[in-house]
Formats: sequence, C-alpha cells, structure tokens
Amino acid sequence: MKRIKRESKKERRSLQNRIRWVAGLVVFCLSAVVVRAWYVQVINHDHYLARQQQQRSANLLLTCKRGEILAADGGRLAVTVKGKSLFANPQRIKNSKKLARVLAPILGQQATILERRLRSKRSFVWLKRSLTQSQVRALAPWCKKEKGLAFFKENQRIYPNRELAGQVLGFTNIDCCGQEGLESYYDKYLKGRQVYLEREYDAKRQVVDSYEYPELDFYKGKTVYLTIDRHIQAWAEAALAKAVTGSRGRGGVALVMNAEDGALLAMAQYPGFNPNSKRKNNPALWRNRAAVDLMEPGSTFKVFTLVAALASGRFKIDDKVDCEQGKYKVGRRTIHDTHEHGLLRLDEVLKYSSNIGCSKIVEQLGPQCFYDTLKKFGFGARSGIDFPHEPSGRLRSWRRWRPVDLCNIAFGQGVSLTPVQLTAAYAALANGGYRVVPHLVDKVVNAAGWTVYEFRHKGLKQRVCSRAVARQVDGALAQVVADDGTAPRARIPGFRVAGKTGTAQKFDFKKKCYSHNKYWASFVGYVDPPAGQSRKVVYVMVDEPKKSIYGGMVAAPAFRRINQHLVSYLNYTPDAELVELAMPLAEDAAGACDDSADAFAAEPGGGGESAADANPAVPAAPIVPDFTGQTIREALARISRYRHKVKISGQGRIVAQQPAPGSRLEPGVDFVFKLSSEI
Amino acid sequence: MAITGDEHPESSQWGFLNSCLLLILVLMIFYCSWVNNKIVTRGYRLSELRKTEKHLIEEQGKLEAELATLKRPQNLARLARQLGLKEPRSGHKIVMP
Repeated sequence: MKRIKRESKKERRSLQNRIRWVAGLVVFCLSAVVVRAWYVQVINHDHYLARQQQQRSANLLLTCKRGEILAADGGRLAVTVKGKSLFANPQRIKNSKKLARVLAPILGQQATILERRLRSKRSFVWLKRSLTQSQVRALAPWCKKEKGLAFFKENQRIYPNRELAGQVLGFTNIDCCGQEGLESYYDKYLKGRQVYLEREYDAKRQVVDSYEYPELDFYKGKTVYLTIDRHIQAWAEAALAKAVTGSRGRGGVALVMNAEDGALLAMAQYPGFNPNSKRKNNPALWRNRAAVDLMEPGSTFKVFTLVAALASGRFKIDDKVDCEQGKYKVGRRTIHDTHEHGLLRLDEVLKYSSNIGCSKIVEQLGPQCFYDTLKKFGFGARSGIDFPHEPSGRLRSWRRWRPVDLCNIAFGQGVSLTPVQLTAAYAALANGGYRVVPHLVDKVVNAAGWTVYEFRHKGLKQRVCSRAVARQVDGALAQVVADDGTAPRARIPGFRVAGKTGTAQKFDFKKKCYSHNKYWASFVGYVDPPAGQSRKVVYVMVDEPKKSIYGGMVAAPAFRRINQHLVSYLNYTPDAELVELAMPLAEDAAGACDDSADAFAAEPGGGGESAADANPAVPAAPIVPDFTGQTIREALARISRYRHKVKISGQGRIVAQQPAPGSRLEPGVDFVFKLSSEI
Repeated sequence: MAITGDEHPESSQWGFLNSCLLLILVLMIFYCSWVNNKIVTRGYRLSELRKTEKHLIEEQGKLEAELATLKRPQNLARLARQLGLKEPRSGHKIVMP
C-alpha cells in the first residue's frame, strides 16, 4: 500500500513538472509574441503601418462629373456621360502589324499610324478617345482577345440638342474642360473637382470596399440654368434659317430678349454648328456672332437720335424737320434719302427712316448732348453679358467728331456694336427707360440644391431716359410697321407691334470705303404683351442678303415668324380691337423674299429704307362674300389676303357684317363683324 | 484501480480555470476570425453592388441624354408634321381660365 502511495506521489510530481514545463514554454512563447508585438506595434509602428497601407490600399485620382447645362424650360442642353476610350500596352502586344490593320477601319485611323503607336516602347498609349457605341461593340471581342488592349472609362460631354444654341453653349476639350462659349465662361462652376479615393485591396488585388465611401456627388460640377428657352430658340433658328436661305444671305443672327431684366430667351445664329462634332465644322462657325461680332447698326440706330432729341427737351414729337427733298450737303459730302421728303414730324423721320431728318436733328442738338445720350444706353462699352470675349462697341469721343461724322452716327454709320448691345439698348426703351444687363445664365445650383450663383439685375436702377420719352419713342416705332412705313411685313394680326428696320452698308476694308453690294439687313422690335407681362425684344439680322437688301423685306418677316410663335407660346391674347389683317408673308408665295422686292429700286448708298418699296401691289377690289354663320377664324382666313382692318364685337359666330355681302370691297374700308353672344 | 479522495483541490481548480481561459481564447479567436471574414465578404458584396449602382447610374445618364435628343424641339416638330399636325398661330390657342 505504501509502495502504491509512493508511486502515485512520484507520478503526480512528474506530471506537475511536465505541466510546469509546458506552462513555462507557453509563457515563453507568449512572451516572445508580446515582445515581437511590442517591436512591431510600438517600436517599428510607422514603418509597418506604411507597408500595410502600401500593400492593402491605393489612392485613385477621380475627376468628378462635369455639371449639366439646363435650359429655362428644363431641357438638358449639355450633359456628361461615361464614355469609353481605347488604350494599349505595347509591351504586351505580340503582332502589332496585324492588330493595327484590324483596328484601323474600326477607329477610322490610318493603319501605319496605329502600328507606330503599338510599337511604342511605353507601357501606355491612347489609341482612340471617346469611342462611339458601335466602335465599342466592334472592339469588345478584340479587347478580350488581346491582353495589351483595353477600354478606359472616362467622362464624355454630350449636347443632346445638337445644333440648338451650339455657339452659345460652346464646347469642352477631350478632358471635359470648357473651351468655348458658356462652357468656357462658367467652367469654374461646371467642372467637377478632382478627389483622391482610397480603396482597399485583398491579396488577389480585388477591391474590398469599406462602409466609409465618400459622397462623390458632392464634388461633381454644379448645374447651370440658362435663360434660353429651347422652344423659342428652335423657332428663332428656324425663322432665321428661312430668312437667310430665302434671301441667299451669308449668315444671320436672331435674338429674343426679355426687356424687363435682359434675360436672353433665344440667341440663334445661321449657319449653326453642332458641338458634338466640332472638329468636322469650320472653326469660324464656333464664334457666337451675336455676342462677339461688331457691326454697324444702320437705321436701327436712328431711334436713339430721336431719344436724344426728345430727352434734351429741345424737340417735341410733333416738331417738324425739313428733309430737303432727299439731298442734303454736309461739308463736302451729300447725304441722301431713298425717297424725297419735305417737312417731316419727328416720328415720321423714324417711320420713313430719313437720314437727312436724323442729321438735321443732331446738328441742332450738338455732338456732346447726342454723345451723352448714347453713352447712357451703353454704346461704346461692353454690355456685361456673361459670355467670353465680348468686345466694347466703337463710339469715338464727341470731341473727335467732324460734322459729317455727327450726321453719320445719327443714322447708324461710323459706330459699331454687337447685336446683343443693340438689343439691350432697345430693351431699355421697351421697359420704360431702364438699362438692362443682357445675360444667359439665370442661376447655378450645386449638388445639394443650394443656389451658389444667381443673376442679380444691377442695372435696374439706372434710368437712361424718362418714361415719357420711352412712350413717345414707342409710339414712333409702332408707326414703322404701318402700311406706309418701312416694315409692314412685321405686323401680326391682333397685336400691336413696334420696331425699326435697318439696312447698313458694310465697310470694305480693302477699298477703305462703304461697299455698294454688301449689307446687313436687320429688324428689331417687340410685340405688346397683355398686362402684367414684360415685352420681349426680338432682333433679326441677315448678313449680305442677295435677293433683297432691305431690313423690312428680309428681316421683318423673320421677326414676324418668331413673334407668331412667341405670342402663342406665351399665351398672349389677341386684342379684338387691334385685329388687323396682316400682309401675307413672302413664304406663302416663294421663299422668304419674293421677287417683287428686287423691283423696288432704291439708292444703295444711303442706308435708308424704301417705304413704298416694301408694299406689294394691292389686288383689285373683289366682291365681299357672306360670312354669316361662320367663325371669326374662318372669316379671317378667307379675307387674309386683303389689307383691311377688322373690327369685332361679341363672341361666337358672325351674325352681321359690314360691308354687306355682294358689295365691292373698296380700298380703305374696314370690315366690321358682329358676333352672336353664344359660345 | 481508482484513485480517489487524495487529489489536491487547488490543482483541480487551477486546471478548470485554465480550461475555461483556453475555451474563451478559442472562442474569441473564432469570433474575431468570423467577424473579419464577414467584413471581407460584405466588402466584396458592397463592392459588387457599388459597381452595379455605378453602372446603372451611367446607363441612366445615357438614357436621359438619349431622351433629351429625342425630345429636342426640332425632332418633335418633325414628328408632328409627319402626323399631320400644324403649329398653332396666334388666336388658335384658347387659354382656359
């Protein structure tokens, strides 16, 4: 028994020893681990942290999406989408000659150039950037097959409306940086920020995302909201294209501006240009002529002579000026009018566009008074439009004017400005005498929806002429579209129209004199809106029209077409008292200008308008039909070819008419329709 | 032959404590590896979902651009003309109060 106890004691001691050894070993190992951990975590902490970071994560440089450009009606004018570009690693390409031959027709490049790139000693070469969808589809099998060939996703700028407002929007380069137009001017808002994104990788270099992912939307470019309305822009472009092609002109510009605040609703140019394929277009087409091209305004400038006269207090609208029967000598030069006029009232000077009348007015005013008025309207300076490269107009100091210069400027020669500057000056007259700053951008909004920039009308407080003067000038401008004015083709039935024609000679820089066969034909005016709405100034200019040179013949019909859409779009209601049958447009016969326009001989040197010439022959008096029971619309459609005024009373269908059915329609007689009160 | 009654009570307690500690250690190791494994698996899933989301956003952007092209005024006017519609002139439009 004792022996058993002794043995048991011995075994226990041996077990305890073994446990002690094992425990000692474990403690030693753990101590070694602790010491190593201490060494790694504390002593060499930074070194190992850096190594870990290097192995597990990488910083990617991301260029966030460029902001969108939206129209006033919400339509997208410029967007950024992810496109694909093709690159190659020449080190991994085996048969570069064969590959170049395959890729050349797909990429539309020369095989020799591609082969040279594929033989490069570098490890990265671009083969083609911004591929089309069809190119991506065709290249996809080759990217799978060839190890050294791959796609690279990058941002691509798209203009979904193609030519619409192409020159206004401008374009970006391949790296989405603004180069022209609004893309360039608002680049600081539009461009997306570059951010570094840290990504974790596993041993197989697969991305393991963490939950702390940055909100990249915050860094993307801001959204720019334009004042341009896509529909108005489209109508302006269509009307302008018709006017330019119909008159066989070289080009043209059309603008629609809100007179109250200077917001441009349309800025059309012909020929247009598609920013999606800018390289296919002539670079000369990239230029926005409405904002950057200087031109002489011609007769459209006469209205400011009238403003200067009325604002000075030395003239009243009823005062008469002797127009010297069409010839007036100033120094050694003779100023001509296209028609001989004797005494004309001030408003008639504008109506008949008399050069001599304007010259005589400014001679009495004196150069300084006239110059001061022009400066108030902003001539000779930049208008402040938010568009790059706007030139300041050319208006020399009055101290350097010779007597003949004073007269020339009075009817729009010897002074140059951009179409935008002229339209802004007309807007000041249309809004009752306040200067406006033309602008294209309404606001800029960031990704969070905060407005970071908003157009604030700085010029609203700056009065350029009194309301009374503006009203008198408005009355004079309304006479221009009368039957015997220079632009009856600008009239719109049911609406009061006011405007002014312009036919300016272009300066021939080679011959150093005004050209006798190159003109700018223009019309600028507005339609009276219903109460509570602001006027929209519409400017149309055709460069070097061939078929007819007069603004009343070439530009006024385009003005009318634009406004016909505008009054419908903006819900202007026609005034029954003002329903007047408008002259049929030349487009109804053939093109924008009929051949009769050419028969109107006029002296091309003066830059004045031919009033009588603008009127086509009146047809012989016909028999008046019976309109009883018809709607007013049907009746107007039937009598639209006669230039008779119409007076309407009541609502519904016609129950009585004047002149009576069956009688001869004598010239100058008004139609009177009485309508039933039922609807 | 059973050995009973004369085992040292302290050593048995010590063995039990050791076993518990070992078990806790094993459980902790298991838990840490499980959590780590979950994080990595979720990370892969998240990465996939983000890729899908990005792809869908890109696709949406392309479709919106295509829609804007189709809805451009000239295109609508052309289609309207094909369907025999005419643009309204002044007076054709009646605004309901």
